[in-house]
Amino acid sequence: MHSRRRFAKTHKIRQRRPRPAPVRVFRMTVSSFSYDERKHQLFEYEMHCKIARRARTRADIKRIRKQLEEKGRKHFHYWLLKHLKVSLDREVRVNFEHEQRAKKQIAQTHASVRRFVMRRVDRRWDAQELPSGRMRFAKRRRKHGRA
Amino acid sequence: MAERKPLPLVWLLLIDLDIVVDKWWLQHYRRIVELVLESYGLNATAIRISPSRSKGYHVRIYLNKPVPSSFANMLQWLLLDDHGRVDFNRARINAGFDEWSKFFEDPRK
Repeated sequence: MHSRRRFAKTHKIRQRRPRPAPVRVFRMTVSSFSYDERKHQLFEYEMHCKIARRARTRADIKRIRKQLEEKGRKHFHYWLLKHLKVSLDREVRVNFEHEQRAKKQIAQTHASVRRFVMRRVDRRWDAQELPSGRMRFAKRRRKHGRA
Repeated sequence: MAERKPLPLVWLLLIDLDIVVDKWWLQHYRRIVELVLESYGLNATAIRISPSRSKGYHVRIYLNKPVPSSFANMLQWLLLDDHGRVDFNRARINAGFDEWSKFFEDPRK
């Protein structure tokens, strides 16, 4: 029996290229608390990541979320230790928002990251922005040379 | 010091209700939302209520005209948004974070 591709080849039927999956914007928040005993103050560290990736099905979304979570946790710990000398001993929470279709249908390899530290001032939360940056998510595809 | 970019205006209110109530209570809630918005010269083009991940509901209110972020946060507080969330949102707005309103959800089916 002919396969569909072979049939198309022999009968000169132009095969339709499968549509690429839509690019969606993934938004992840990684956060944790830390208590500074010297200052007697509670701090909440937040990291908001945003990246556009291709995902068609719910399984795709779940897979990308899982990968993002792994990388995000590592990045969060590493960044806080390196830049603020904070080692977190409490649970790190990772949450996702709904994925929306990206305006530009171009997948990204790096996530943009914004970071904040929250502290209690006069019984209210006060946010201070920390340096923003990028987090590597996937290796860039090579156009030439070895794959 | 570099000037901070003004936050974009908001068309959508996101409200986190942390309680499960009877359906007919939600109908009253919709009415109250419309009344509160009307008192500020606003209208809701649509009100969507969906169950949240853990308990309660997520409410999305689409406005007929955009409002500033801090005012939107106040409206969310008036419309029974989670109080801890409101305080965090206020802090994020003051720090100049444009995506200050967060709704954490599972992937859609």
